[in-house]
Amino acid sequence: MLRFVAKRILMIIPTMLVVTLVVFLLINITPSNPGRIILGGDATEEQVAQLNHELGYDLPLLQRYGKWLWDALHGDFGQSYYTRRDVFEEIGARLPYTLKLTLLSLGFALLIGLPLGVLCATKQYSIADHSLSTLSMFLAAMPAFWLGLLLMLQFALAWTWFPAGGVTGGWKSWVLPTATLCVGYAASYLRYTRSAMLDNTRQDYVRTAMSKGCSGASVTWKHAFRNSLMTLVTLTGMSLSNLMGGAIVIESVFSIPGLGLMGVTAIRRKDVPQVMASLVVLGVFFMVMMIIVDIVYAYIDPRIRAKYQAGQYRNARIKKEAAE
Amino acid sequence: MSTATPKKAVRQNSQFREVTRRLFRNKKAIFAMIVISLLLFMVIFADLIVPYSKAIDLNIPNRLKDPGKDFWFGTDAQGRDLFARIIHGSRISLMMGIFATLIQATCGTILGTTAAYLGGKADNIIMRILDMWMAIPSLLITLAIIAGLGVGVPQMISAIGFGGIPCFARVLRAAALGVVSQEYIESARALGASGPRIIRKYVIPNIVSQILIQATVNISGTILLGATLSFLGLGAQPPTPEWGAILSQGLGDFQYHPHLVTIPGIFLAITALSINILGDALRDAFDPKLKGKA
Repeated sequence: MLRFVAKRILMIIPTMLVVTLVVFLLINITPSNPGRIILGGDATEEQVAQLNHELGYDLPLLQRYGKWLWDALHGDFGQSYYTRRDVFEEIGARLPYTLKLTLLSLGFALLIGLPLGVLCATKQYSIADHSLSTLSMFLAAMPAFWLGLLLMLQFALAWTWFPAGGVTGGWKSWVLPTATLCVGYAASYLRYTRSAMLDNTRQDYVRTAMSKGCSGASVTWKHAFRNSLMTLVTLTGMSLSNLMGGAIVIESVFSIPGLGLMGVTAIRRKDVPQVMASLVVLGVFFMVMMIIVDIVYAYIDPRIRAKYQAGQYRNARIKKEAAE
Repeated sequence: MSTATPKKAVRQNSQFREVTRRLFRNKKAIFAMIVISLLLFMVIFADLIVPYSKAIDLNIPNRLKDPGKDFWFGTDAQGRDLFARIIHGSRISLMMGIFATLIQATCGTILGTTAAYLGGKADNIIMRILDMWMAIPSLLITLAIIAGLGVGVPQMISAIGFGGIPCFARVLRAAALGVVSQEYIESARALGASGPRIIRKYVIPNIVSQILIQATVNISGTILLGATLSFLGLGAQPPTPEWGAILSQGLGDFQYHPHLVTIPGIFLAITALSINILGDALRDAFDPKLKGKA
């Protein structure tokens, strides 16, 4: 188990190398001129060329990547072309907002989606099942930013219950962004929980448990739900990356000064150091999450734990589970 | 004898006819198909419904009119008829979804089936590359490509298409894995068919239902993603009418003129919803065993 985790952690390194190289090449498909960006329109050509030289921007592309990598490995991710601030400092200041938004939304999405999904599955074809399934379908089709705007229109502008944006209003300023981001995920968790539970309640072991005289609740939670957890853990891991993506949009709608808002601005301005640094942070965060998901797998499923201990076919098994 | 004849007729039905028959029995699917046909009608005949100039030309005297008799959907801050902008916006929004999905489906199918067919080392290499690709949130990959290519509709289509390939490839590899172990693949190989031929003639036709389902579900996601990017100012640029762009242009005045935000959003949501319903119905029609499960 320990070896497996160590191997997965080590795998982050080559993955990040490839990912950063690809993104570096992508950003630089079309030329840009950071010297001109920093100095503005008034600077002479010589000054621009001088600054580009200092930034190492006159080097060939791959050499520039090498230089970026070398500095990054020494903890220096460079300065933003625009704000001239150390990018890591800036990310450090913004990351808490994004994390807060993401984790709050994930938490509420799970809290709402899982129990309702179980309810829909245990009471299949009931009124509650039909209305919740239909509602979740509607919510899944709503673009998140639109939902955010509608909530803002009603609760912030018409009724002024909550602030329309920013983070200065204490807990109140988190209500609308969290609600916006979590609703879509709660809906998809509901759908997946429902279908996983329905899959499992058709299995033989559920009938066995029933015939042994287990109560309905015990069968639902201890047998069917426990086996559905596998699918749900995979899904949670996967949706974390989407949640981060969703946060980018919600931050723009509610003007929360998080990582996403910074990333979008950096991309629009071609601020290479900032784009690269936010990518590294998000990429590492995501991969660590995936490792945690794999460990949680082993924790909730003794069959997989046994596989780890046997040390055979573990990757194949996990990959297969994930693909399914 | 007389009872045997209809049985035979049923057996002669092709899978295609079976699927369409099941699809047309599904009331939700019929609703979805009607909505989608209306949307396609809008896309194709946009110029006949309302001239493009009405969606683009400024008309300041009419600015910020609420929906009414003269302007069904009202006008925006530049006095442009929102109805005309929505109609013409449907072209860009839907095309974006369809073309980006085409890119994903083509590349994803090739990668997924090749990985499944070759197996072993080649499979491993392809899957590890896809894993790396997937290690970054797809929105971020899309954004990085846009950063490289610049903002605009064609750039956005290629960025969305490119970012969604690994997800597609994974699903289709899983589907193809079930096919490549079949005996008819082995016999085709024994007859000397080349790898590409086997993939083209035997593997892909057998997973075409999965490709179709995945593509349908995907289109709604890409339409929403495209609208989101345009909303963030990274896709369609003003004054191009695109649903997401129309929404973001309405932001300045939406407090007192909510129609600027509600109407384009309703169109986006209805489009995505009916495509999702059609996707679900297609899955049920192809595999009735799965019905009612998801």
